[in-house]
Amino acid sequence: MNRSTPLLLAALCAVAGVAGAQPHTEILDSFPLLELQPVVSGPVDLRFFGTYCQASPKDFCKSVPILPDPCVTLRDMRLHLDHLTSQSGGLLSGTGGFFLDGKRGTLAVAGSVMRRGEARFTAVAPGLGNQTGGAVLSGNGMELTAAVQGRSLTLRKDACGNHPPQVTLTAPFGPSFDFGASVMLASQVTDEDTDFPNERVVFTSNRQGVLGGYRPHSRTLMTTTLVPGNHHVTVTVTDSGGLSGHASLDLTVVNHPPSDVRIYLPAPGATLFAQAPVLLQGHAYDDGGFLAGSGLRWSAQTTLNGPFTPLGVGTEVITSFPQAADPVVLRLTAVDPVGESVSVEETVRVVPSTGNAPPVVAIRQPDRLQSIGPLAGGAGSGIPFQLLATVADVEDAPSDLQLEWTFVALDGPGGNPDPSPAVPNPAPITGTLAPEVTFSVVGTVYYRITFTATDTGGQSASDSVEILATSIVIL
Amino acid sequence: MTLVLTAPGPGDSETLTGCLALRGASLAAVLVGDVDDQTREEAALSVTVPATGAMFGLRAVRAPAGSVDATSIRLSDAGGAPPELAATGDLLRCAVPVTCADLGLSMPFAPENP
Repeated sequence: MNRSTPLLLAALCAVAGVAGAQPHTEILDSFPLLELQPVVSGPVDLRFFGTYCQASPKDFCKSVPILPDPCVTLRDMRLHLDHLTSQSGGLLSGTGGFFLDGKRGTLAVAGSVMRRGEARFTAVAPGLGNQTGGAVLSGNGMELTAAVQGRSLTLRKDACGNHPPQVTLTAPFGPSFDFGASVMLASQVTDEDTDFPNERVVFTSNRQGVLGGYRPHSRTLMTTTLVPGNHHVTVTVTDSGGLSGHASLDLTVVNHPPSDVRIYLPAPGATLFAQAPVLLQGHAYDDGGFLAGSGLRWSAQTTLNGPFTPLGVGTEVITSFPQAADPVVLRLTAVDPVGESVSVEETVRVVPSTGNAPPVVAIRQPDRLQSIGPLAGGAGSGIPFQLLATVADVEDAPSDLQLEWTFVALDGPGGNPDPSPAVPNPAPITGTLAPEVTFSVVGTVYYRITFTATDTGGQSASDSVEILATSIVIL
Repeated sequence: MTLVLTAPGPGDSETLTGCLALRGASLAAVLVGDVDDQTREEAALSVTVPATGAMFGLRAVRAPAGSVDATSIRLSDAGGAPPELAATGDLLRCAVPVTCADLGLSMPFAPENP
């Protein structure tokens, strides 16, 4: 603020006092809504930005030739324009300077965009008063022609001694990226300007337009929004004078189909009972995490070569089969966000209802749904290992069910029971859903842990997981 | 209503630029001002609204008179102001600095032909 000129108010802001006006804080509170990509109803033209200069002096003459000196000479006009976007359309604000018959003058401009390439404005120049006129922008935005009272003046961005930014663009970890992975785009800029706000460093893809993402600084974009496929990516850098430079590169975003698609429940070859609840459990891994919800689609084929009937979606689905069928093909289809899918199938059989449904069981800890690969978890030798299962039965209360945990060493991952384990298998544990077991092994041993629940009618159901017990301390 | 006035820069003590907005953005506009070089206490503001290019005038008088830093500004219609701005009223200086961007007047940029 210039304190020697009382009315010269630098960035003065004032509120309230006008009839109907609101306190300042309330007004500001209402504006964050505008940050949610407000709809702009009026004309905008973002090309009305930059510094425009007069290339050569121009004489403006009065139409009375008998005057001794009917002309004035205008030279070195320099005007910087900003385009401000309001909800109602584009507004222009600018300041500049000039020499009129050798005397320096200043001006300020306010205007509005009328349509693409056209604006109306008011210019204030101390000593010369207010002038209202129109302005036309050339197609490339380089040339601005202002017309006031039948006189015109053309200003150009490239007449200011400014040069377009020199730009290079790199994708340091490219040019191939996994879908969903962060893509780093780094631009380097050489220009008279050293400061470039984010809005003047714009990254675009030929497939997706302007790219959003995290900007550690204005010249770098980290984005996870690129869709699979080939992209021609361009960064456009505009300096304060409104001149732009570009750089481009090609990169590829690769989608990987879902992997580790597994059906855990029911077990392959299981015998299910018609009209009894059946728990379907499975999972699939995709770039960056496990699929859930509609990314996991269950279906069943109950007649040979018949259609697959949808059973539900998600990691777990409770279903039932109305009647006996043998074989029944259960299918789990994993679908990633791009629509690429992988299916696995297993065969079970459904036998007629006996009037007593078997229990529905599932081992919850170790949690195989959060593990990639066939192992559900690992146990340290000599360290208590926590187990947890859930059980439900149509006819019996949980307390009426017989519960048993068994532990069998295997001859390898996914293998058969080891007939002569180096150390005896832990003894079975009964009567609890949440036991602790301690494995005492030397080296590494694969174990199959099986949980079985038997109801009062003699129907039983089991679930199994495999773990690796080890005496090797991993630091 | 919030009014932002900005002095253009060194060497220019007589022109103002800025913007104003009414609550709910029912009106957002940019303006230029011409400081009265005699009194140094008042300015004529020309306000431009979006889309239509319509313009109107406001007279701004700073207060207290003779002070270095104004604590308020009295606005009055100088021709064509909409009804919500036509009444004379005092605007108090904001407690914190406010910019036109704060009033919803953003400066986006989008390359035309990347």
